[in-house]
Amino acid sequence: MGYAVVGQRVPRVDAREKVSGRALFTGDMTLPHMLVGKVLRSPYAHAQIVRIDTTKARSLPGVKAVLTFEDVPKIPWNSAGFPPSPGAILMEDQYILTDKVRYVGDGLAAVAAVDEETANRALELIEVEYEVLPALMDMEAAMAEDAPLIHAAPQNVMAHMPIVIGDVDQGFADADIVFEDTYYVPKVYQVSMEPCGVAMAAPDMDGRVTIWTSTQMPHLVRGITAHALGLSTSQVRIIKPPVGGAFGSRLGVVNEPIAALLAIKAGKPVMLKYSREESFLATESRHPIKMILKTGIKKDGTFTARQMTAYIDGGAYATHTPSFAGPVAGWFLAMYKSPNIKVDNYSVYTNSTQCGAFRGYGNPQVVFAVESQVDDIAAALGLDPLEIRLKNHPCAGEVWMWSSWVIESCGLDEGIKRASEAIGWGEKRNKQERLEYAQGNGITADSTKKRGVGMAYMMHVSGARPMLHETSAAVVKINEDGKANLIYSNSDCGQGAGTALTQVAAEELGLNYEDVFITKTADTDVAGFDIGSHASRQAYSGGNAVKKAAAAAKEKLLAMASEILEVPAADLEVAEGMIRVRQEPEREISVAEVSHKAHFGSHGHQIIGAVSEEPPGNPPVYAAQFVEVEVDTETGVIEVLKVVAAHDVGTAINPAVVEGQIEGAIQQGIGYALTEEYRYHPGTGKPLNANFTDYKILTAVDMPEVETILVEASSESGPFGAKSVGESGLVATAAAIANAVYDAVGIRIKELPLTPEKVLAALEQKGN
Amino acid sequence: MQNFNYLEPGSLWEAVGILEGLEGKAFPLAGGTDLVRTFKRIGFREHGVINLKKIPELSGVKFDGQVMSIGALSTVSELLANSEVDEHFPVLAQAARALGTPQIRNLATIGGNLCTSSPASDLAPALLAYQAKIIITGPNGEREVAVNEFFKGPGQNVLDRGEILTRIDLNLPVPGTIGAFLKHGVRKSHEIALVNTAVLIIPVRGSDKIAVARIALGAVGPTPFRAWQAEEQLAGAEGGLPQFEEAAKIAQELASPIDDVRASADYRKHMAGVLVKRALFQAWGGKV
Repeated sequence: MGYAVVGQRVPRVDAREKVSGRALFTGDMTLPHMLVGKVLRSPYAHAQIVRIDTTKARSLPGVKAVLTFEDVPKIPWNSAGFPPSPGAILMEDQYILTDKVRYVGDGLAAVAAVDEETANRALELIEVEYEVLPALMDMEAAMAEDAPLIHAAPQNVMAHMPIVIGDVDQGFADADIVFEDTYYVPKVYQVSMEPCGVAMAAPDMDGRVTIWTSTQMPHLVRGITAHALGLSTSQVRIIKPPVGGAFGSRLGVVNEPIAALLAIKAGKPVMLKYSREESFLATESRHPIKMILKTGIKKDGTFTARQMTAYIDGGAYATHTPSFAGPVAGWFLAMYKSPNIKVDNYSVYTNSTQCGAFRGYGNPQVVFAVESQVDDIAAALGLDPLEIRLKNHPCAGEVWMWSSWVIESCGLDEGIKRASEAIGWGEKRNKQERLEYAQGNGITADSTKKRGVGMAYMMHVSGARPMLHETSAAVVKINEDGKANLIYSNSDCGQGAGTALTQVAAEELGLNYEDVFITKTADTDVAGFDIGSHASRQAYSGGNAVKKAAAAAKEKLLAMASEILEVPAADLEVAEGMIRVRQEPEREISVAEVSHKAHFGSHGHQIIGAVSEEPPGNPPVYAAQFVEVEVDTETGVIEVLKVVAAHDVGTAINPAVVEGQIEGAIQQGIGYALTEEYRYHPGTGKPLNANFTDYKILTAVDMPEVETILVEASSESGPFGAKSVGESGLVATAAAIANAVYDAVGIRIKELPLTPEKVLAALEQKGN
Repeated sequence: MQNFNYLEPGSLWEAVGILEGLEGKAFPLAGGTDLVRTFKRIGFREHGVINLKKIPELSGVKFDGQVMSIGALSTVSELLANSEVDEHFPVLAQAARALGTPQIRNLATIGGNLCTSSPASDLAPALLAYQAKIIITGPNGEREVAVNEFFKGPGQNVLDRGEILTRIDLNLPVPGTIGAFLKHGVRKSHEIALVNTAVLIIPVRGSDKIAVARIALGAVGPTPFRAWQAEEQLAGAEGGLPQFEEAAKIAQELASPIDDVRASADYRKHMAGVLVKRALFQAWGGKV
């Protein structure tokens, strides 16, 4: 490709401050006279508040503000971070604090006090009388005819989305075999190391409020927060310091309106910092979904009909859920070609914490179901599991059903080839070889361990067009020393977007990477409107705006250099901070000298490029993940021995960052497959594992060998051919593991996580 | 952060006096790995914290060739770094290695691990297998309790008002003693055991027979316990997988685990058998 900065493994722009512990996260900050905010949370999953008395709390010395439903603007709102778009279905069913609690942890009052202890005492002094209602902890209970209503939605169904392409009945009639299976995936949490829900708000004398918050989307959070507070958008200023991981958990408003309202009422800055437990209790997670898949297929492996009926557990408030149902349908539609496809999605309220975005946005759920079933179909028909995928996935030049646009590039076939070789697919597949560690007595305690290999594929997005707008804005200004600032609403939440965008700017400008400085902190008073970090969009959509802003600055730079060197601008090139005449490289001038002349010579201006626009497309990315497992048939434990992940990411702007994204995602994917599940007491609705002792994320010791293969099928429309990588690393992992388990011991578990107890039960049923 | 009373006795007797005077209204602090969780959960508002870490009598690991004396404040990392522990009490070293994470092992103390009296303690089964003696100092002076009599229930032990666990004594095992510690959890690290077990076998010299076997289990009953009947089954028996399976079956029947979010009682019980069998087999020289 011959790029100077793009494609290089340069150190991340935030590496030094983070590895040294110097980075200041929102929770590290303080302001003079800052108060501590706390939220009173419901102990009941479903209850009407009959009486609430805050008299004693208000009279406690040191308490500066107490809020209940009575004190919040009566403006219903929706916390999900969507730009108003045709694809966004934003049911407004929330208030900043509620008068009817709908899950254990629902916020019903908030206080601000001089210190944490006083704030906690104030919470204890608030007297609440509840009329407890039945807790509807699963979708069946919520959708029952006589179930009490969580909101006004009949049978607690917030939305139903039917999609029909062709005629599935005809398709099933045309099929040689029809498969029907039900899959269930549980609620899991993003558990970023910085707990979700950290905001510091400070009101000013002019009716504005500034909120420092750990968010993925400064501009959208500004708008939603302003709306909830009854303010105009520009009256809220969002500043986003470094964020300690997000994975979707900060894809919208979390607790910014509570912090802001406390600060406004108290007239002082307020820090509202959720604990780990509160982060579990009261912030959004991955949606549990029950998926019923019906697939008709010819013996040669041609799909005649594909159908999915999905019940999506949205929890207590709508937030993302009715909109989220769209991509859920999209992932299903787009995976395999079929003339007849039908999707029925039901979004359901339950008395659990509201669900939202988590890396993959419905795709890991759908891929687990689809790829589990395709594996069974291949086995039943005696088809090669790789061939059935290669034959039926949409390719470059074909229409991709997710966006209805033509696919720009596809590296899946190469990925499957390289990854299958790396895992040793040919040798290991279907051998069912027993590992004999036989020692002594001729009987071993461990002939119970069986190995298998499995794989799954996935496609994902680079942004959410055309469902949503994907606006980004960038300003590139070249300073008088020839170095450049990149002013950008940098919503990097740890994924490395700020680094990649700096590389794009440096590449386009012809400057060294070290000489371009991105605004590490996003500030809505400074940077132009940007949708934020969602849908793996920053490299593609953000990169598009940054590249064009850099190109605009470069054009002005070369025009000026052309005057000085007295050659046409078209004959000039710029690299490593030097502008040269292409045919006579000895005629050169530094960017610094040109910029200095621009500032202080006869022109008197700074060279600036500015752009705000949507990117031209939404090129899909592909991945094939291959996994080798060892199943202990005596303990039920599944050990993942190796993961080979081949990802078509388009051009990898920074391969080290890309690999880091994939490896980190695989850690979450293995957790999703094997150990993670957030659970509620089925009767009371109380969470059973809202902590890191019993919510089992994998440790470094649990990680297998991970081999990452980058397939760079560059896009036509992306900056330097980039597509995306942020979410896709975990999408196929659970399905690949489930398929490897099937290969190892012949059991098909259709419900995540694949716990030892489920493995033993399945083995027993199989008659081992 | 919350304000609370903090006391820092400089001697054992001062600590005993304070503990006795506060009528159970004070939390003794050693490593703090469990206490900080308690603090976060309920706060110390009505209670105080007595930091034991400045008491010199509670520190240090000494070995005189026959008895290993481990001060209650010895951290798990200190046990792991001690070559004499590794050489003479390898099953304790294995248990220590299985506890928590490196960060927790750097803070957590052996005394704290015992006094917390979690049924899932990783050190307890190893200490049970080595027949450790617990030395306790209180208002009436020093007393000694066998480790199998120390635990009384989840979070409960024999310590009376004003008493402090000061050290643990281990007798050097008979030469030729072999053993193993196994832990089963969802994760390989940073884990609370669903089941753990420590086994020691003293073979009859020059034969395939077992003279003495000791089997201790954790997390499958109100306290860590010795599986006496399983041990008796093996005493005098030939060593080998069929015998180990038989003993494991007996040990499994002695387990009375609970159902909770971590695992079902049935699975824990099943795994108690599997783990005992595998530990005996591994100790005997098989590979798990």
